[in-house]
Amino acid sequence: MTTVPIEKPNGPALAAIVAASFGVFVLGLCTFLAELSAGILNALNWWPPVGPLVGKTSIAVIAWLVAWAALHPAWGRRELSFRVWWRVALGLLLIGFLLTFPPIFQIPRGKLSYRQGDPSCAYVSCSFSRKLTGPTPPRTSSSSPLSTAAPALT
Amino acid sequence: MKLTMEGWWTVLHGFVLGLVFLLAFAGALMALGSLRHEWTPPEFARVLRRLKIRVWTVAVSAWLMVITGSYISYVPYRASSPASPKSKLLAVHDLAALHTFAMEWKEHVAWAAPILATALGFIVTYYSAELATRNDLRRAAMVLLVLSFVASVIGGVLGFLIYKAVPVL
Repeated sequence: MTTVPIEKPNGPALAAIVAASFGVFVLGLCTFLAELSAGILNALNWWPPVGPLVGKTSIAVIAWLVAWAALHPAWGRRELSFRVWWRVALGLLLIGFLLTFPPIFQIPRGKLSYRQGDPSCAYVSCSFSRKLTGPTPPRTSSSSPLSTAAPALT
Repeated sequence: MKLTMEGWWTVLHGFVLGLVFLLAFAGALMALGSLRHEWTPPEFARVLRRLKIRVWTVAVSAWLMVITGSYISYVPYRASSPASPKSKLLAVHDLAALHTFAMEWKEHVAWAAPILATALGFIVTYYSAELATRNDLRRAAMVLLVLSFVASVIGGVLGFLIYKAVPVL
């Protein structure tokens, strides 16, 4: 039998877990915010061949590493309430995962499409957001910027 | 059948690294779940060494998957030319969801896998043998491992569906 005494506090483990969860949360947040405005979307477009995905993921990774670098020395020698911080981490993870789910992060896109009468609501997100915003109004003769950017799939 | 360079990168990204990830995940989960202090010291040391190798293999393969996927395979996928896989998918009504839902979910959620796996690697390395005694940390480590797997599987399955519709050869 191997005897293993508990010597290390749980602070470093919780710092790693909470920081990773925060990184996932920031990933979800960036994904959602990128749909809110063209300005944010363009600001995240750090490398055009890949598009805004570079900005979103890079910010998430930076946020994760900065959070870890801040939490590890702060919690390194402390025994924290595992239950409390584990729940915080799971909450951040849940929100982060939900915000990377297209029917959720594309809600702003659907609302924008609705406002501008975009006909490309054959997209999953649009059909989902249509339930929230109501039916798409009939198309007008003037074409919106979105209707030229996205193919008409109706 | 002869593969282009893009095809080879896709094979590396999805099949080779995906297989390494799956094997390492299964091994790490087994080692983590069976870590018991009832074992003799040599057995315990052997299982612990295997656990660390497998967990770090999960983390490294997850990082390589998202990096090759996002920075290499994704570039020709989203090219503006009509021949690009994205254009082909969006041009067909029934296939459009493979981009607007599948690819858009896959490209984001997969990045959670390496972040979580790296945190797991740190915990396993830092606490090492203590994980056998600390049930809370061992269970948390298993949850991180499973969530990392879930994020990767979402990416893998959706990637397979996209690849089946518009193969990159």
